[in-house]
Amino acid sequence: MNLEKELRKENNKKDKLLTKENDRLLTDIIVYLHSGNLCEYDIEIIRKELLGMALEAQVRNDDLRNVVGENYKTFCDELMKSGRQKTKYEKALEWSYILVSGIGILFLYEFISAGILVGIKTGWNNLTLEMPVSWGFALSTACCVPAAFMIFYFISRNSFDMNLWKYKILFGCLVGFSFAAILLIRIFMGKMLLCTVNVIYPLILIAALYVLVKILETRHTNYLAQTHK
Amino acid sequence: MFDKSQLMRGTLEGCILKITSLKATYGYEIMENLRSFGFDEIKEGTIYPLLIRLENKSYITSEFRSSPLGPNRKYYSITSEGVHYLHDFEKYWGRVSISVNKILNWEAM
Repeated sequence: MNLEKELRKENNKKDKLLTKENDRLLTDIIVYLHSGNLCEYDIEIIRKELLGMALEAQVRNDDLRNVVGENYKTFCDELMKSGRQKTKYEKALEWSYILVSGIGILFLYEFISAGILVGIKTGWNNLTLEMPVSWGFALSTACCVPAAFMIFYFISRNSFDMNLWKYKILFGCLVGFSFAAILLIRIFMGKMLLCTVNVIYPLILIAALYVLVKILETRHTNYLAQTHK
Repeated sequence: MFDKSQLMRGTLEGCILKITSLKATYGYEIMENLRSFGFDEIKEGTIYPLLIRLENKSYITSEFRSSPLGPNRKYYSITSEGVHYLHDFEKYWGRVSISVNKILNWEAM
């Protein structure tokens, strides 16, 4: 059983009891906290405590804005400074998860789309497990993961300002530029063959790594839940 | 303009430890105690990061208890390490406050 998932479920239930304003502010706070160096479980604990504060404030006819104070960013920065910082092991697990799931999804997409293309062009009987891997796929995958991370970081770092036009435009530019770069790589290098692989091996490898990372993550989170809180 | 945050942080940590040394208490109650002693601008958001920091340093410990006002509340109590820290704080604060007051009341001869 993953105790972090349990905690998130519990928090999601309580979330529904919040007023619209409190819910919006709490979401912005939690999104902003993801730009720092706090681990996922600790952020969920903070969410639980802030939910408690917000719900109590609602009973007093007050709101979360008054509880937190006017400067949300300062409050969050203080939380990020005061909280337990991610260990190297936690960072390694997080990055492994991002890489394995990101590469896995892109590989699966490539495999399925290539399969459909071959099926349409040459008939469904000609489908094989041999998949050509192009430079375009390799490079676009290498670009996709950092681009996704940059977009995530941009949203989390500016969560309180994302309704301002300046940030909406910057966000649009960031997404547009990333998408265009990846698309151009696919167009110009999509036919440059890097190698041909039997999809079974990478799929097994990615699935095994994914399961391993999830097991290690769950074990670590449960350890944190039992020892820290 | 004078930036209160640096001065407040260390001072409030000592005050929070003192409050938690008297009885197990929760964030809102700590804030009300602080306000009743003249820290008028204090909000729960001011003390919550300090509570996290004190807990990470093992000066206080916490547990969730049921609350008549909705979800469970997190109650904080001082640890033996926190008591040592509080004694040091009290001694140092006594000396510093005397010295600072002397300097602030000093008039040129």
